[in-house]
Amino acid sequence: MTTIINAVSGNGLTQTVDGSGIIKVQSNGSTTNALAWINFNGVTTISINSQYNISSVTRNSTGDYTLNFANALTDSNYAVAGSIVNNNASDGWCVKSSGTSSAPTLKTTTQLEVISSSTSGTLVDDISFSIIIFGN
Amino acid sequence: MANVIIYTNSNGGVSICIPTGEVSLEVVQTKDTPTGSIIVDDSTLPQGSDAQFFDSWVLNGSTVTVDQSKALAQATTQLNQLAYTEASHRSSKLGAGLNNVLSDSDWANLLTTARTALSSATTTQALLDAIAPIQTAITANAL
Repeated sequence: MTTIINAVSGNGLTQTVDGSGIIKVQSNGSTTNALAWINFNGVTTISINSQYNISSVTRNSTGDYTLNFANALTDSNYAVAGSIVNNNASDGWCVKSSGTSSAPTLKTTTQLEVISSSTSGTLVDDISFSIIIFGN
Repeated sequence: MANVIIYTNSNGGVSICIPTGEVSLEVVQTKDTPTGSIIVDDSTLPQGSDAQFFDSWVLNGSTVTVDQSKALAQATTQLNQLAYTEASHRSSKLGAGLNNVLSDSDWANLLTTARTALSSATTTQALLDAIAPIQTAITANAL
């Protein structure tokens, strides 16, 4: 359940209120605010600096992390954005998949698996992940 | 010190689940980790150089230790990757008509020394110490 405030063309604001503590701000039914976000240090035992709607982060291996959502999302067609901080300019991060044309390994309404790696494909830890999720 | 949830993952390694505090630890354990996971204080997990070999951690009962043979394999892979990086770097400098800071023989000697030190290492700190001169040389050569 979620509290929803929706701006509807020609109809002003509609709202649905509950006690979930989760809010969606919508424009004609499309949610415009982040459904979840997190900033964490991915080294060793992980330290979580701040977050919204994330219940835990699991470190699966070096550079491989699963984000677990506190409240399930409506569907898995959400958008993922973010950044990492590292002293190696060639590092990057992405949603994990088994190949360039493969579906994500784990991108569901309750979990998202992300990896960070060097240009050679070697998984590496990074000190500051910022990940934001938008969707309906 | 904080409570974390650990379990053996499908690769035979250890996964660590860190709760954010958004929901209770018990809810996280039920919702986000598989059956059989256990709650431990993170101060009981491997520290120092052992912590840097996370992919070599193994869970025995409620204790996490480092599998030294896995750690050796991990360190060897790291050394090989460093050697590949340096080889590419040296090749590009030669292609550009530039001299490498480190001579070929000095570089070869460094690699041999590192591989020998790796093979005789019995601790994770010794593994790190074996690789360190290679990393230092690469950083110097990158200039």
